[in-house]
Amino acid sequence: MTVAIPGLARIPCTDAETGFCPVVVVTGASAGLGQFLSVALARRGCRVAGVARSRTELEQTAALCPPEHFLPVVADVSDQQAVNRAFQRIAAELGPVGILIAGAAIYPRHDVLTQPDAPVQQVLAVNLVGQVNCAMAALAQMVPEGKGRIVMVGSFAGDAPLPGSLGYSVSKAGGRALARALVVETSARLPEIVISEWLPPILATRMGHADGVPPAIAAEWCAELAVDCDPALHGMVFAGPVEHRPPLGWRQRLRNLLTLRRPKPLRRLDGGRP
Amino acid sequence: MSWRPGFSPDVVVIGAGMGGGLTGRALAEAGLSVLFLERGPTPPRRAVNQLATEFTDPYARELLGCWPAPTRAHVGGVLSLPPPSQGVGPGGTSAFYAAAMERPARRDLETVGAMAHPTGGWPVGYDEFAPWFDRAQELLYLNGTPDPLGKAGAAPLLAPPPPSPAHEAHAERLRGRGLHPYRTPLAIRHLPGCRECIGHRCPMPCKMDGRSAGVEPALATGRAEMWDRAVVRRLLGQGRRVEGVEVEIDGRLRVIRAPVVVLAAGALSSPQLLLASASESWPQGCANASGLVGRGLMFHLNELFALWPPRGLSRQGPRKVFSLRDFYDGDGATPERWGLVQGLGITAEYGFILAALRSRLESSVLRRVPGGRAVLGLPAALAARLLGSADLYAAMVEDLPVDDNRVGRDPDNPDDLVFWYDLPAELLARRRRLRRQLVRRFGRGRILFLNHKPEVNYSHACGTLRFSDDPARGVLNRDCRAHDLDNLYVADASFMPTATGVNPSLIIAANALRVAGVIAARRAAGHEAAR
Repeated sequence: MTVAIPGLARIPCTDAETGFCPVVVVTGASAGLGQFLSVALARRGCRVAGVARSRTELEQTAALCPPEHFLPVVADVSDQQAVNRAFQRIAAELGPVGILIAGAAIYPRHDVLTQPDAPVQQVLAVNLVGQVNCAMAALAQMVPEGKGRIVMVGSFAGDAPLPGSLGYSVSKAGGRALARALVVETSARLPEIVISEWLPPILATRMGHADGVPPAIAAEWCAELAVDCDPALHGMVFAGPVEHRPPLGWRQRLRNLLTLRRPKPLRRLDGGRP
Repeated sequence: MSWRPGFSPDVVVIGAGMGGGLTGRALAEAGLSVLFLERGPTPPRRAVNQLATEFTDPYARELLGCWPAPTRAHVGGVLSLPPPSQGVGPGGTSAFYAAAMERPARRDLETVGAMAHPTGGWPVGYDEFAPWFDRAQELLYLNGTPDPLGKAGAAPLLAPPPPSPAHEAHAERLRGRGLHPYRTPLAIRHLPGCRECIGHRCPMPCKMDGRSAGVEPALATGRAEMWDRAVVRRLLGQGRRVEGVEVEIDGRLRVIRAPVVVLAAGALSSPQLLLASASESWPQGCANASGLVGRGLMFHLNELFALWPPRGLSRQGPRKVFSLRDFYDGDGATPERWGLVQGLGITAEYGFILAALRSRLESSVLRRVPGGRAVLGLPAALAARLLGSADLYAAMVEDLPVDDNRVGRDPDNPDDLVFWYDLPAELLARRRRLRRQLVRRFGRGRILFLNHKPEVNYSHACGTLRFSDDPARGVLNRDCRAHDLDNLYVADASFMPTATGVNPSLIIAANALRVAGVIAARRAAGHEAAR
């Protein structure tokens, strides 16, 4: 299946003068969506630094990417010092990080009623603290440039928790708050550091479900979002291929009616019509 | 903030805005060592934010360059909380200014013909100031064109970038009406990637302000340091000497000592600090034997209006383009102090018109109608359609010194900016005459006023530590040194005895350089004498 890529409204992160492609950090690049995402970005010409704990699995991702386009970086995202060292190494080998896609996550199931020592904190450490660590390490390289792109891979799991996923639900609720908090930090001062949230659909990966969306397709949506540096994307949330907006209250709808304002059509990442 | 061990400055500069920044730069370039004490934090160099107005949280305000505490304005006896206008951090308020650097006229500093000066004249006259205007103009890369109504003789400005066809045609139309537009002198270098940072921080050393033209070149000499988030609480000393500066850093007080102290915290804060420094030796406050510290507060009134450039022409070009001095000295028949007309570089958009309509609503009897604020969206949207291509202009009205208009302090809330200010009837009358004349000269139906009530430009505060040769009539002497003290200088807008008819930034910058010249010369003379 081919995926149409909209070309017109895009503001590519590619350096306009040199055509030099940006350095993209993908966390959780060893498996699942992260692996497909690394491949999709490498095929677009990006220089991808894939962060994960397992070197052997990262080597598998590297084998799928065009040569010279994937740098395996072994680090545990929950370890702040390891993340900082990893980002310094990436900057030294590839150049300053232009794009971060923070998606590394684990999804162990546990029952806190019967397992009092279930490793909830560990889930928070990887999923939430990992995103904090990576976002801060990336910002350290983006702030002096005044530009950059961060896509926080999130989930609705925190809004509608499932039994047996306490750690995951809390981490994902925290992740969404983290994304909004980061948006507030940069929107006024450094609006060219563009931060968006992407909430993937249920995927046909080992974390997902066999009936889910093929991860190769979802990875194209996310890659499309990540390489677009349009400041209008700042603070936007995408669910799958479509922009996600909270429903308007009646006051706002009335105001729009009175002021002849029509809401903008929802943005899409798959080239489809709104 | 760095803590270089053993750094003992020749001069401590309190406040790193346009005044402090340029004084510190000139001193460091003259070979003196300088310590800037700046209240605000240092932002990322690439930051482009406006001065925050939406937060009450002090920490968030400071991150966005805004004075952390509220401003309490007692205007006409009524307490109001105007939106914040004072900046903090390197560059101070000037980091957010619109880069207009207008030279005052001779009549602003001296009595000229029938136009008597309200104070009889500044202790330093126009000709003595002129070289410092020239020097500031050079350091700040001012570009623009001379005022056709002005006198020749000033150093030439750099060539401005060409105006858009729409603005060119607009200027032609104004000339056809007998008006005299000229290109506003701007401290913008138009470096590659220039965004004309009007009203927000500039991410490059392109807009010249207290940071890019002051603090940064000062630090580059290697002889200056800046401590940010350093809140000066008091000046310590006795008799004729300031012996120390008490500064709060990370919640801890420490005392910095230096032979010379330059106060440049801004016209609302500098007098406050002197009043807060009252002691046994200085019962009325530091440098306040005259009782005038904080008195003589002035602003400008802004008359905001929209003008439409000819339709159908490209507006591709610089946004802040024209000034006019056709209204500077009254209507031509009777000379009186009005002021400059200046394009703001802003087009009239929905949000601006909505805000203007809302402020008009607040002042009308309809303010209690429920939902009134929301309903204004419709007329605002219609106006935005009609006015979409209008440019906003402001006519300034010179405010005259009145001792009862003054800065004070609230000991319980020492960070609040507090002042008492009344609009004299005489000012309101001048304002009405100016508005009538604006309509007459621009043409009825061609000008739309956007403020109804008098609009005080709070960012143009000045006059609260005025200089005068007479110690009974001013806080500072002609060198901007406190009459009462031997080692305290002031280098912000506080020194101005009158508000003039122009934006204060060039005057502040020029005077800061002049004060630095005095300090450097005095030190050189001291060394000479010691030898």
